[in-house]
Amino acid sequence: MAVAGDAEVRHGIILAKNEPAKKYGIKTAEAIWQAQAKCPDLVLVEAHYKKYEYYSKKLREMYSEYTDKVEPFGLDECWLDMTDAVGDYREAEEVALEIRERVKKEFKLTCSVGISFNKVFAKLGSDYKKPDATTVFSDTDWQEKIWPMPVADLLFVGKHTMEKFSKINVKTIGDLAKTDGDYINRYLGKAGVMLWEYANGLDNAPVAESGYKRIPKSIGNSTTTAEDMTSDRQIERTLHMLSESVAERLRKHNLKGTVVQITVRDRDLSIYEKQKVIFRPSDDAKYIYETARELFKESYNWNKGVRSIGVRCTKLVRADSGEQLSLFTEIQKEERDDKLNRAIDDINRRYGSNIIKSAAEAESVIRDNKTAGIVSDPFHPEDDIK
Amino acid sequence: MKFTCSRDDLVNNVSIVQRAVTANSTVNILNGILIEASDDNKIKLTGYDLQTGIEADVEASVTEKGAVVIDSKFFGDIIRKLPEPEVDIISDNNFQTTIKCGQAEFKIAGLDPEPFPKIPEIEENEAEKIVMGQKILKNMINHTIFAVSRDNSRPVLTGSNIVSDGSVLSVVSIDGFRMAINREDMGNDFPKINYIVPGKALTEMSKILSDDEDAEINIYTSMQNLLFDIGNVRMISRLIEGQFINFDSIIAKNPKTVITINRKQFLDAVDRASLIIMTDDRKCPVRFLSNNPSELTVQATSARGNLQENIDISLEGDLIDVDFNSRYVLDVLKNIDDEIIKVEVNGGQGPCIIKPVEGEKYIYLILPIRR
Repeated sequence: MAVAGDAEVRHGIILAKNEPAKKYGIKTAEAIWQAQAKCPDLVLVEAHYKKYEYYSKKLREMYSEYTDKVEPFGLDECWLDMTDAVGDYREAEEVALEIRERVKKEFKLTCSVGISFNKVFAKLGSDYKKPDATTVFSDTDWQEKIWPMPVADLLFVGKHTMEKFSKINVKTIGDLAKTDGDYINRYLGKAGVMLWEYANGLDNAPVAESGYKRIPKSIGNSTTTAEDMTSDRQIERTLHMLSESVAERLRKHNLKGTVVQITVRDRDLSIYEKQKVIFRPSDDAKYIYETARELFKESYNWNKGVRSIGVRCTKLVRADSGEQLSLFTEIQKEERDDKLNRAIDDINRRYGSNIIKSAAEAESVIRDNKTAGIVSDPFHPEDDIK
Repeated sequence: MKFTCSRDDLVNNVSIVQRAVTANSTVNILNGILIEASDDNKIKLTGYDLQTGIEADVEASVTEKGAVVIDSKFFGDIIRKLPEPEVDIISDNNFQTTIKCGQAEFKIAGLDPEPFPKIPEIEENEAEKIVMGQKILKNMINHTIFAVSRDNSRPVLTGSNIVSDGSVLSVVSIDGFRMAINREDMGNDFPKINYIVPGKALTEMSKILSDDEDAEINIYTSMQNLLFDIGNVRMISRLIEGQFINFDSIIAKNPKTVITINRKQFLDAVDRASLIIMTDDRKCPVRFLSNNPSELTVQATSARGNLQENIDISLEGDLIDVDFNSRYVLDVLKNIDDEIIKVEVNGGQGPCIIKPVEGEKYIYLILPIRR
């Protein structure tokens, strides 16, 4: 079984696969037809991003009952620093078991846990046995267990690095650990040294405090529509929807953007970007939308249909840093808009995504669902759980 | 076309008309200077980017009339490097142009002048005419041009408003965050005018204007265009259409706080504060704080450190605690000559006005940074 995007709306790639599918050599991100060639009986299911997002968030909330040091890695993996919460590996294993059972009972999901003395080995352990298991690499047995493993299993070793390693005959994590560190530095640079340290059990990066979020450099969203967009009206609707989501995310991070950027890809897949410095930093969807629309109108000549479009805010500043007032600042109106935006965010957060949305957004959801041939199936998480 | 002229005259005037030539227009001919020899004793150089045009006359001995367009940068670079004080320029029917000077002889390709766009003409007898001192105009431009907006979303603000009520002439620039007004009493016979002139044209004009007290300029205007005429050099610019902001209404009438302060001390303190501010990507503000009516504290804090400096003042009204963009404050303080100035503050969100202790020859307005 594999989760795939919808081929009809041109997201036809494998997004995730289960263990049996993996045995057929099916890989994430390959096209559906490639996967079906390898396994003709492959069962394909549709992705439910909303559900994925919802469960990820619920699980993180559960983890934080055990420690305040929970660092998400991607959407569905987390590191938990249990140093202060448990005394030894045995106690840690007990907590791991409890978490796995709760995940099964409360969410009807399975998860794998890796326990070790640093983040890299804990991650290695969580990948070691799947889908429902605990793996321990302790400070006494790690060399024996980890060094024979292929170096490709190590965190951040990708295809490119693998090519480099094979040239110097490094096959296992142990091979890497035993290679001279200075040589690795010359051959692979800083990133190589980091991997060499990982292989030697020297990773000591802390697990971030919960609530810690990296400050993003830019916030953007893009979409490929079911059919090529051929009118200003369709573009406007899409830009509106994207701007709403960008603005909401800006507010969530307590940031404002000073540059609005659009990315346009036409039917022939040629792509261009346009950007504009806006009059004052903003996290307001209406303002971002108006700028994006202006950029599009100025730059696109409608020789071809538009396949995908994106909106992005860059040069982000903290929302609470001072704002240069302008003669055109209508202070009261702005504060009112600001309060309104935040109130909508709050309601959406409490009652599920997009309970309140703009008319343009609502309209486009209906339209997209129609054109993509999907029956609208609103997801009610609370109903699902209780 | 064939003429002889002075190298230095040519160099000076080419430099002037180059101000109106776009550097890399996709229209090849707009990158060029039009050279016309239609009189016996002078030639005319023209640069025109379709918004601002500059014409300059150069004394010459013309032996064959004609015209040619030559790439502005190339031509300028060539004549600046010529060896002798006298230049011969000849261009044939194919616009092949020879530049002869001493033993040096350049042969370069010119362009047919026919497609060179015509600069709009202003009928001098039909146009409104103003006569004023070059130095006065130059000063008024220089004291206000920094507040012209560079943001094209409000086109009227990309120009300065030149307006007179029949005796007082004002030049006003507003970029939305600040405003600069400079006023001059022109006597009672001055015409009533109201134009918005593009900032770019004014910037270039101020560089051409003379500092000589006696030099005069004639300004002619039609509906769409304005002509600055200083004799051998004429600049024509389109006017910006639209209604300028009613700037008088922005100036707060009853300020909450009035501070009298030594300009130089104030300028130097803000200048020192900007050393701290420049270290910070987020461009932290400069803070003005008064805990008592005789002292103003200038403060800046960034990740790198901070500056704090007290200045003796006299303050009437509310004590203040306001943040500003230090660059805006510096722009203003650098453009004032008075020793003692008046700073009017209207709380943390109201406009701040900087002006002379007496009169309203200039008024600068800056909006604060809201915390």
